[in-house]
Amino acid sequence: MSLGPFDGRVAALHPVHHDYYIATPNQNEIFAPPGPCNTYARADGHYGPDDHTQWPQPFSRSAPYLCCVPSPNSLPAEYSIMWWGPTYHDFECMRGHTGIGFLPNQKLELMEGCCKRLSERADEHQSNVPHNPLIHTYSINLRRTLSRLRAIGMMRREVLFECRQVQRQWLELWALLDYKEVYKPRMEGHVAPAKETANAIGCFVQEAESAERLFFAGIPYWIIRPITSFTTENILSITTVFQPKDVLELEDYIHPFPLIYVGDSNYCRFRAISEHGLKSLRYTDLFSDGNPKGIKPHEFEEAGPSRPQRNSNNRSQPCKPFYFALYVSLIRSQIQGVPKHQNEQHQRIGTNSTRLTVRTCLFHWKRGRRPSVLLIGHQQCSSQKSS
Amino acid sequence: MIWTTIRDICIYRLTSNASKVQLLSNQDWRTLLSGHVPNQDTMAGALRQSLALLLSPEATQLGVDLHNIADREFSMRETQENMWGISELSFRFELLMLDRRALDRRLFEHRERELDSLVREELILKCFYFRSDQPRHLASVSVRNARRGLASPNIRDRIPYLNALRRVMFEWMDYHRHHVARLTINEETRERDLLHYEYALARFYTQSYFRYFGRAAIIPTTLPDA
Repeated sequence: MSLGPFDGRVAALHPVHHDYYIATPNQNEIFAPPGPCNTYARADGHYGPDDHTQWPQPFSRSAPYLCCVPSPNSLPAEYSIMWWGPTYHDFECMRGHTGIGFLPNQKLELMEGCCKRLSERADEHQSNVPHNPLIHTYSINLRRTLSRLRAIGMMRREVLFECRQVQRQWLELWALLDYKEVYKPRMEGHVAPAKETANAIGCFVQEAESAERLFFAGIPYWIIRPITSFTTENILSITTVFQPKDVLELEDYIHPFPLIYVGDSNYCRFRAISEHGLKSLRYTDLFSDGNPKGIKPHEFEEAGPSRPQRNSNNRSQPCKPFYFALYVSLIRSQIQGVPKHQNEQHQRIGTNSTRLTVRTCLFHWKRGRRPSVLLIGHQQCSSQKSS
Repeated sequence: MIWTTIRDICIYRLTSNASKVQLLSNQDWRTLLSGHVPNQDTMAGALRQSLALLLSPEATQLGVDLHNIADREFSMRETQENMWGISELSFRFELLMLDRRALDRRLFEHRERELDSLVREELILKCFYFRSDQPRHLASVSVRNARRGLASPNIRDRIPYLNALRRVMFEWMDYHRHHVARLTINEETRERDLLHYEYALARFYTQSYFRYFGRAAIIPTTLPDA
């Protein structure tokens, strides 16, 4: 029997609001619609029933592509890494640390391959149509998140979170490209309606117009309607509702992830998840010393955790400590006779038998630095005088 | 060598978005790196414990142990390489932080999106050479690149990276009043003029750094061939 956009291959009573029913013309199951959200990442790094990459959410006009996120393992096997869930053992500790490490290299390479292929697809798409800033942003953020996952040793919890973040961004970009290339033209009637239903997560809708558009695009959807509006629609069978607890991980992580959103499942929920995922890409001001606005040059001397007296030892050295670290390490490694180097550009490292000069500085940078400091000092003095 | 052990923790902290950042004094660093087994009964031991917490409080909470450090001797080449890595990391993160301070926000009217730190970092990443198999990340510092990018011995090889740096500085305070803004180069520019171009950029960079942080900037370095 041919079904229309408001018919039901299966249908069920709404599990909370019993004067409503849920029907779908292109799926065999009914999922429970999300209620009020308490959004936070669970033990598997997903956001439980609030996660649009694993559970259908209400259709969003601001981000319509989210309903096109492919269903788990619906793509060729080469992309299966995008649904892979790291276990406790998928963590390679860095030398000397018990708690900082990476994902196994083989998994990172698989992710890298997937991201590269998707980036190429995005570039090709961008070359054929007017530039879409959202696709560009997704491509950059995906690459940046994966780079962070590959470059920085992190704690197990962060590795899991960043891995899920790569997967989420990848799935969203895939969905966005599918939406632009395949589904949107169908929704707008520019091409013939779909003959098959997409293997995608889908969404919940209440408006008839949205349901019609999704129907023609071939995107899975569940329409929620008042029972009083039921007239001549066809319902082929009545079924029970799948609850998140039946299929999703709902347990908290051992050190729980923070709560990032409370409210209805709407575009704000999606924004909260996206922003929280990108938070790790934004660096704290390293010279802030606890002050959100940062500190001014003359305040460096007074910064830091313990400053009983003002002397040269108490001067804060935001980056120079790295040099100091090495200097101390040199002493520790028993290279004898290390003179205190006066600046980091011309390190002299001596031993009992040899005296080596390590010239590492780039001439024009060194030359550019020395007079410039004097010049700036002069400029500042001048400006102070004039003011 | 203590540094090779705390390096990963330092990078982890550098690249985190921790809400609290505290600067360390030379004395704090001296205590942290002293390499002795911490003794809670002494002031130095207690301070060292507190610094370990400061370096990575979350990690300590989750069982990361900074004190199981197997110390070892290292060769002169390793020293040079470590020194180069430290210098490169410092330069990159100083550039990132200077960019935040020096941006002239009046130039971003109607394009506030470009002020986003993620957008700015994309520009900054272009100042550095990355191999194709290497993550494009500021903290991804490889000694194999110690003679590439800005550290290349050949000025013509350095030019794309200098141009990228100039692009970053384009929106800094006073850039357009500095004579570096009026310099032009092309493929036929003589080497001597290219070196002058590099010098002008370096001068503007180090001037700007001093203006905002009150001390000399750390500058890019190179390494002799192994």
